[in-house]
Amino acid sequence: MRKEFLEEIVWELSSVSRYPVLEILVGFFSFTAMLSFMGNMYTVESQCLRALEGKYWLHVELAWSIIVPQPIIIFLISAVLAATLFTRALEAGYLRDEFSLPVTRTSIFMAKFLAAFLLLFLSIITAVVVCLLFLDPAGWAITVLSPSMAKVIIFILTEIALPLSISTLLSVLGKNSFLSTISSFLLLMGLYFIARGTFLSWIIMPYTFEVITSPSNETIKLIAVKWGISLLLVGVSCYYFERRVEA
Amino acid sequence: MISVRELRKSYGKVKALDGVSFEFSGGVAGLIGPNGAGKTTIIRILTGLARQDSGEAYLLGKSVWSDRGVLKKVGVLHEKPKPPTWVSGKRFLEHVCKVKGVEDIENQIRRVSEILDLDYLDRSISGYSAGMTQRISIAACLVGDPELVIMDEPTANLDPIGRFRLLRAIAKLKGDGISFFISSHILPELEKICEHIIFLNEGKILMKGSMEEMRKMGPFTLSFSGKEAPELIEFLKKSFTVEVEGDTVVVRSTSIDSLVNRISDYVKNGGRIPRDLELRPPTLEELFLMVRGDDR
Repeated sequence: MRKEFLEEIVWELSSVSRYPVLEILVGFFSFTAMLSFMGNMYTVESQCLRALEGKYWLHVELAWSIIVPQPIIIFLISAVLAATLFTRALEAGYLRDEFSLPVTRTSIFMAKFLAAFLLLFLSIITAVVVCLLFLDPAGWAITVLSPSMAKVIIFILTEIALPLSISTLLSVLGKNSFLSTISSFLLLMGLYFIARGTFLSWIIMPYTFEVITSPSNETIKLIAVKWGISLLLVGVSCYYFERRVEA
Repeated sequence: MISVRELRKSYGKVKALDGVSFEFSGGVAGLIGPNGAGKTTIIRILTGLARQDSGEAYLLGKSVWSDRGVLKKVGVLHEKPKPPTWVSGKRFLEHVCKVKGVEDIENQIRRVSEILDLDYLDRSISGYSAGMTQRISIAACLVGDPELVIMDEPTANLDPIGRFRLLRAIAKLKGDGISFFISSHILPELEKICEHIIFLNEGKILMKGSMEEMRKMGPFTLSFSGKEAPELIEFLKKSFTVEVEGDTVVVRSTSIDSLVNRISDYVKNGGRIPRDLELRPPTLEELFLMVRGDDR
């Protein structure tokens, strides 16, 4: 069964990689990660501001990167990937034929979710590694293999899991891929902007270099809460996907 | 192979299946009925795409809802299949083989390619015509040495050559021990290959049995050219309803004996047998119309 499940994941990865998503994401995240390293921090929106302080020419040139910060791109790609893998597959009839193969619906769901998760993670981590290579060629290998890198990976995974699980739930519930994409994206954006400056501000974690390398108990608790919500949403999505009998 | 007991399914107020029961123990079976008869609903329930309201449905003795593994030995072709368009035909077949746990993938793909004459496997499915798409989907349900193949309208989208090849392939694979359960409303095609028939109408089984038994039920058709034997027409009119379709005279009866006896009487009385006289058993279409009560 393990071999069949692995094949399902590879299959779903090939399904989403039919769009040049990975190339675009690596390019974009490399670019934004470059900016973040200029500020010696790991997230883009705040790092961009830091990076641009006192550098007016850069501010003008790269102003769009503030308007379109990294979370928005993650939201957008999460919405598109989830809608493609779930709602679009249902719309186009691919899911009907897939359901008639000897794999459980849970396996199909997990393969789809993991494929989207892997694609997002790989593109961001590739971008970070590429940036490290450009910015610090001599110390690249040491940095990549350092314990901080493991922490960076955990932070990246956390930031992917929540938007992707929200998009997945909406896509599993939805019947129209375009509407699923739009509603997921708008909901994520709404949550993001509502969270800013409110009691929900914990949703947006201040990922400074210090926070990542020496996370406080508070930070660890927030990460745990985010993972808890993400897993709950994935569980609910999987439950509904399994019971969505009429494909 | 297939066991269905008291299957009921409704979509809102519409009863799609109303207590359907049948057993299929192997060979080639045809599920026949007009559009909306419930054929596709039976296949969707059998293959785990839809859940019945009540009743039981088993494939190879198991329910797909409790054991998906049973589908490793069952090939399924749904109506208007939608294979993934982002890969080549070969990659699609490889995926199906891998998911079914097939070991000799290359051999399996070569085998089905030869049977269905698939010489376009390296091309992307997105560029396939409707007929090519249908054939690759048929190939997907034939890989993995299935014991049973369930097909919903398999000849849809196929040109005459494609239909001929498919029917020939089914006949060959039947000889290799594979059973087929085919739903269609193109009756002349099913007639060529089916050994068992299930007539379905408005969610109920009208009749089921072997093709041989059903053919014995009639209606039998006697036909000949009216120009050749005008006196025979008059002779037959005394016992049967005689229809004249153009130059051809047609007499139908559910009793083959009465038709043969009447012709014998005609010959004994010095009548001349027309050269094109033909006495044939019912076609599947005629049988279906008869059981539906639509026969003339």
